[in-house]
Amino acid sequence: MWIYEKRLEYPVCIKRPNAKLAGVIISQLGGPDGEMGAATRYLSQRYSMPDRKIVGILTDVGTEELAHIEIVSAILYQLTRNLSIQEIKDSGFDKYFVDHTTGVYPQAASGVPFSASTLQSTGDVFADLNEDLAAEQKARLTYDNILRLSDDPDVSDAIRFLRAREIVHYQRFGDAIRLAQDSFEDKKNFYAYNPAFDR
Amino acid sequence: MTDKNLMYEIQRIGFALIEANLYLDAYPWDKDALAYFGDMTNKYKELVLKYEETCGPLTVAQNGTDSWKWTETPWPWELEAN
Repeated sequence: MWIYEKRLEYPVCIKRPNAKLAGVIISQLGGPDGEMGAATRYLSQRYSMPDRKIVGILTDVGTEELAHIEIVSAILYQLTRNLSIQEIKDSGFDKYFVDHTTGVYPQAASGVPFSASTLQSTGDVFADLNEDLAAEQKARLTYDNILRLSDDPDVSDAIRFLRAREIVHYQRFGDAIRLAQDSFEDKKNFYAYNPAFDR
Repeated sequence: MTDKNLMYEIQRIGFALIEANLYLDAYPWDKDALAYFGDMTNKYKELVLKYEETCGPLTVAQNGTDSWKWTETPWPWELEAN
């Protein structure tokens, strides 16, 4: 069960539309390390976790990722408002425009649509939590690359917020691995099997 | 009508709540963090009450029965709401 709160987690107020930048930032909506993948990954993985604290981390980080989908979408919405056909042609946004106009569609910057094949839910505690650590670092580096490509302070401000959240989530998933180790302290060599299945 | 300063304050305290929430998931025995979470929760409730009186509902349950304000106020991604 979720309840929608009618506000952004962090404000997005972009003065100048910029289709070229939108075409890059869209990767953090539907790209291989984007927010849609993050939310789907954590909210799917939580069911096989052995400890209620770990389920809490996956549920609450996954919920925050839903808020990040909305922030990235707000950036895309504001960057693509009032575009002229000339701007759409000159910026290279025409290849997106032909299928989606200025609608928000989850895809990578390369044009590949969002796919659950970019993530896993293995039912194995340490396999999933280690994927989550890598996922947060991959999202962080993608935001770093976006910051290298952005020349708009309004955009960079919101991107820097999202980047900082990846680092905090990484820390919490580190805690989750420690909690998993603690919960198996009476078992031997728990990296050698699936402690959520091989009881 | 939106009140941007009040919304920023809600976002600021709301962020403190999210941070404390994630931290407490991993460190539920930390009494200082629990007290901090309590303080932020109280502040958050106050701010939301103040916001909803003048600007409209943040959650649909707070809409009331006078009119359907839920779809009258700007959606969060609109420039007007930021």
